[in-house]
Formats: sequence, C-alpha cells, structure tokens
Amino acid sequence: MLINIFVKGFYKKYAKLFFFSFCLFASYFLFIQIAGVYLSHTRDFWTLFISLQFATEPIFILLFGILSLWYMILSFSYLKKELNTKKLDFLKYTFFTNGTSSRYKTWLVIVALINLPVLFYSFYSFIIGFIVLNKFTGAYTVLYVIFLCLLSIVGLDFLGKKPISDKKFINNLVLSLNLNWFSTIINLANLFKNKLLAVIAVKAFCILTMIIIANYMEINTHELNFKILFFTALTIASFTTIILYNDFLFEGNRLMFSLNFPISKIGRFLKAIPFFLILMIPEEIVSFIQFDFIASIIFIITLLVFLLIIRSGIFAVGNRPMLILKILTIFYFITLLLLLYNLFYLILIISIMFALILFMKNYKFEALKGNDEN
Amino acid sequence: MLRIENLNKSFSKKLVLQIDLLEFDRGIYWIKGENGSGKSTLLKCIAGILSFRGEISLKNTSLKKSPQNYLKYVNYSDTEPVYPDFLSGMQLIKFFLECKNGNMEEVQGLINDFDMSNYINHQPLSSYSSGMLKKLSLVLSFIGNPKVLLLDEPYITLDQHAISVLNDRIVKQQSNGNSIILTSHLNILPFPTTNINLSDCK
Repeated sequence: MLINIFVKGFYKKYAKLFFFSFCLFASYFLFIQIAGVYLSHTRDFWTLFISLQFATEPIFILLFGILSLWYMILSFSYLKKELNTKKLDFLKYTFFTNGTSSRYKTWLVIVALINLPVLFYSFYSFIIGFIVLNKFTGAYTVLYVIFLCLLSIVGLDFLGKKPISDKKFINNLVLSLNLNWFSTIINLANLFKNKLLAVIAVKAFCILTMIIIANYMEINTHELNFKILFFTALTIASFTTIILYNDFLFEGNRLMFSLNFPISKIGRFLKAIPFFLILMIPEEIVSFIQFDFIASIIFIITLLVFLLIIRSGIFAVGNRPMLILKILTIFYFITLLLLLYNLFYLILIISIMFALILFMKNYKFEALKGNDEN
Repeated sequence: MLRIENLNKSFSKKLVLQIDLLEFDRGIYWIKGENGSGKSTLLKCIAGILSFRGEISLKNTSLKKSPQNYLKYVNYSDTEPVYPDFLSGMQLIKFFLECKNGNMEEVQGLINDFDMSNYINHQPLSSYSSGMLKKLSLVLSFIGNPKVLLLDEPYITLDQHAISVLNDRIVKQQSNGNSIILTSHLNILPFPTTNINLSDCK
C-alpha cells in the first residue's frame, strides 16, 4: 500500500519531467542512428559515448553526481512532504509502530523504486565502462548513489517517526539566526528555505561551466586572460539570473516594509554586494582553484558588476520573465561583442552606470506590481 | 511639521492622487475618503514606499533628497501586513530595532500590552493569524519613537482588548508631541481628530 501511495504518486507528479527526459534520450539515439554514418566514429561508439563518459571522465562523473544528488533531493522532499500530510497521519500509529528492520525494508523498496532511474543508469554506465574500457571508476558512482539512497532511508524513517510539528528543522535553523548583524541573511534564508533546488541546480551549472571553461578550452589559466575571465563571469551571472529573479519577487512581495527604513538610495544599491559575495561563495572557491589569485579577484569583481546590472535590469522590467530573458540575451551578446574588441574597462564602466541609474529609478518594486510611475 | 506639495501619483497612467498643498502639525489626523480615493496610496507615499511626483518633507528634510534622515522619523503600519513567513515575530522586531534605532524596553511593554508574549519568540510568522500579524505590524510601527506615525486601517482584525491598547498608545503618542495620520472605516474614533477628506484635495 505504501509503495502505491509513494512510488505511484511520485512518478505521477513528475510524469512530465520523465517524459521530457525520455524524449531527450530517444532523440539522441535517433540522431545517432540517422547521422551516425556521417560522424568520425561508429554508431556503436556514439551510442555508448554518454555512458562511457559518465563512467570514466571525472568531469562527467561530477556532473552525474550533481544530477543524481538533485534527483535524490527532489524525491526526498516529495516523500517528506507526503509524510507530513494529514491523510498519512495514520502511519504514525500503524507503520511506525513496526520493528525497525521491517520499516527499513519497506523504505528500501520505496526509495529504490523511486530512485530507479538513477540507480539503473549508474549500474549501466559502470558495466559499459568495465566491459568496453576495463575501468572500475564507474563503481564509485554506484557506491555514491547507493550511499545517497541509504541516507534517504535513514532520514525518512527518522522524520516520519517525529510527531507533526510546525517547527521543522530548517525553520528552527532560520529562527535561531540572529538577524541583527546582517539584514542580507533574510534574503539568503529565503533562498535556502524556499528555492533550494533552484539554487543547487544553478550552482551546479555555474561550477560545471567554470570547470569546462578552465579545463577544456585550452587556455592558460595562470596567465591573465581578461577575455576568458569576463566571458566566464558573464555566463555565470546570466545563469544566476534565476536566483536574482526569485530574490526580486521575494523582496518585492515580502520585504516592501524595508523601504520605510532610513537607508539612502546608494545604501540600498550597495546592500546587494555582501549578499552576492555570500551567494557566490562556491563560484569564488572554484575560481581560486581554477585561476590564479589576481585572475580570481578580477573574475569576482567582474561577476559582481554583472550581477548588479542584471539585478537592476530585473527591477526595471518587473515580473515579466520572458522579457527578462530577451533583454538578458541581448545584453549577453552585446557584451560578447564588446569583449571581442577587448573593451573591458568600457564594459565595466557602462555596466556600473546602467546598474546604478536603473536601480535609482526602479528600487521601489513598482515594476513588480505592474504600475507605471507617475 | 510634515508638508506635502504638488503631489501627483498615477497607476498605469491613471491619476489616483493629486494634492496641491497639505500640512500636518502635531496631533491626530484622520484621512477620510471613499474606496479608491487614494488614502492608502497617500500613506505609502509619505512612508517612502511608493514613488511620486512632487515634494514631501518633514521639518524641511525632503523625502526625495534625504530619505535616510526623513525616514528615521516616519513609521508605517500596512492594512494587511506581509512579512517573510519563516521568521519569528521577535526576529522581525530585532531587525526593526536595529534599522529604526529603537530600544527593546519600549517594545517589551507593547508586547505585554498586546498579549503577544506567549508566541512572539517561537512561532514562525506563517502560523500567525491575521489579527496576530496586525498586532505585530502595530508594534513594529511604534519602534524608534517616530515623529510621524502612519496607520493604514489599524483597527481591522483586532480584538476589543487590542483596540483599547492601540487607542491608549495613539493618545500617548499625541501627548508626546508627535503626529499620527490614520485611515479607518469606523464611524467614530474615541479621541479628537482633525479630519481630512481626500476627495476635497483631488
């Protein structure tokens, strides 16, 4: 019965996602079958290419690790949410009174079935990697996925046993924060509490982008290459628009009261900088690993400037995601064009100026409400 | 003390508020007008929450030119307050205390008077009823000894006890030489007020 409730419910809820993933895979294999003859390797090579990469290449192993972590968090959040619903209250005095081993067996089946796509693919890549290239590296991925599953099982059993309470773990964590020292923490707390999956996904893409640019574009990362640094910062800032947009919605809806605080306009503009510095910690760490010190500092400053102008742009456009996307695309390509002509300082100066002007005109979130000023 | 000159405010090209000159001295001001006459919009403009054309100043300190100095002395309570729902009431109070430069002792008195002690420290705002949120909003609006207190429909969703506490606080605020500007759909208020009809200003 529990399998019915949880497993069927999960696949039903995310049916569109699975259908989309299936179509993506099907298109790839169809493409290989049709276009395989024109490619430099055989059809079989391209058919096994992705699995082999996931089983052997460190960068793809990392990608698979991040994607499977994302999937596990998705499934765990779903199960946790279901466990807290009123309709499953009865489990507290039925299922959770069973012995530990019996409960764990049930969780094992549920978690294994829900995470079957990830488990299956990790095994498949491992076997392909072992048979074709005689490499065992895919085994680490299998162990990692199994470890995540076990962690889910223990976590679910622990959370399920607890009496229903409004004081969830993350709430307690947020409530224990002392907000006196930093108002920015509210924005961060919101992102981590309400938009965790989006943050993880964006961070994963950003980190991967940085690693790919630094390692696969045949550049010398120990020389000051402004073009590459600016390009990386621009791309990372563009990905981060998703987070900035969510933060804008939160501020415009829940922090309107702060407009009554005695803060100067420039103070409001600069308030975003510590927020960005904390938000971008993973990218900052990766930049220090991938580039040398001076290059990392230049990368971080450029990233901050791009984030500021994108944020101001969102303030000016308001709650119209498609328009934001269009403007972001134009901004991206104009900046790329300027980069081709090595106009680095011009890009920085214009970006800062526009960021400031747009923010000063729109910092009261009136674009969010769809109101025209005056 | 508070002076509004040539104020214009439009939404989507539609003029909703036009005031040539309006001055508020010490005392309690009751802004009246029909629905949509711009009462809440006026309070939000004075509170610095909405942009506007014209000039608003407090003792010659302009809201547009020097928002930092102006907003030190102007506090606002919304009709239907909205806050980050994962915070506790006390966290929000501490946040306001820092931003509005208030002190905890005066707030503690308000918390006790409004009977908020049993939930203010622990419960996240997501579990608050509309009345509890309204009380919290009122407590926050008194933080930092404001010279001008803006209360938009302060009585809605409040219980009788809270209404009488609020009335006492408003009178006390007036006796300290400050201005209180409020809107309300009640027929009568239990203290003397200067009435301003917005329909006459437009």
